[in-house]
Amino acid sequence: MINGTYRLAGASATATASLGVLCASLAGGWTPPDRRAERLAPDLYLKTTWASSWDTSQTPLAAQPSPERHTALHAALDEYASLSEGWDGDGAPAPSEMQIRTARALLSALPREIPSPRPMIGSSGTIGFFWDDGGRIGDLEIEADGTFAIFTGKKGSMADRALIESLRLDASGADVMGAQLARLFA
Amino acid sequence: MSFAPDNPCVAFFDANRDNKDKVKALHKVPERHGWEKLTASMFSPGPVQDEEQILRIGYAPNMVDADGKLTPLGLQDVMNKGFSTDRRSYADEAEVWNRGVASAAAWNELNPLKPQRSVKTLHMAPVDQTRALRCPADAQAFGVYDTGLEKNSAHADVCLLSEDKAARHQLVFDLRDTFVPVKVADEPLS
Repeated sequence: MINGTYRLAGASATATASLGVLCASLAGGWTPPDRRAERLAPDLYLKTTWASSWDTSQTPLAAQPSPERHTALHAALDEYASLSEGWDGDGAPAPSEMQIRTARALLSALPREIPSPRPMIGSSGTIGFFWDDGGRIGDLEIEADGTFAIFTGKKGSMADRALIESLRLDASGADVMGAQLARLFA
Repeated sequence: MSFAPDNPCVAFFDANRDNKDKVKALHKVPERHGWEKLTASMFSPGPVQDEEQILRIGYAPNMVDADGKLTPLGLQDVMNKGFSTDRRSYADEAEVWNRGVASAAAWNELNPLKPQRSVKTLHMAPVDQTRALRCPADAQAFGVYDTGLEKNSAHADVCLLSEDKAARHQLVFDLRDTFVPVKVADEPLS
């Protein structure tokens, strides 16, 4: 599936497993183990953390083993999936099923070595995830047709930025995502 | 202060008031950086000054992350219709907060069967820091325009001035850092 191009040190087995999960996610969706806990998580975080920068090593999400570490992210995607047109009060389109499926599959394909991202949704209907530890930044943006883009960079350095667009949810798309994130967090 | 037709800035923002791609239209205007010195609305008290501060409500479900900061896509309007803010010189924190709460409540009443909206946070950004963010070619990355409304003269739009896609992602992260949370729901103003 990966054709030997995945270059994250020590992660080839993880990547293979992740792509297997990716295919399973596309075929059958994803069932969280405890929905009540997921629903509580975002509010709890908002009330208990109030930092100017984000240290991923200290977050409850990063501390949990995969796939449970993505539980709150899947809960956020559940919330996005429930939105209808105009959810922002100003005509924002609702996310498509394809976007939600792609987002879940990309989460499943994230190598274990990569810190958990945070979820986001925009007024144009774009959904995605982002990383910001105060120095390293990155985001995944998923469009209505299921294509996605990955950006990585470092704060204060325009020279280190990279943007790869129009990726598709297949082995090569997951490969590119994994490689870019491995570079970012190396 | 000069108005249309003598002022091309006010004419542009008036013509594009409801344009969801207003920022893309702005990119076609070579003079867009200089337009910050002109007024952009006949309802505005005047161009936004560097020493001012701008306020922005963070709504759920889309705008605020677990640390109470605006998410990158929560700032997405800077790339399309302009990111709405209020000038603190003309609308204080309590007024902006209460207006946001009232807006969410009105929407929820009209849409009882849809996921409800709520006000999570209030953010403040210094205009000089917002304008100081730079593109790779050292050009100003964001403009702050005095797009006052008939019912809210304090309204101002933050617009991305760069067309560089990769820089756009990076600049939005930089912009995110300039909007500091000053109030979170259920807590007093700090």
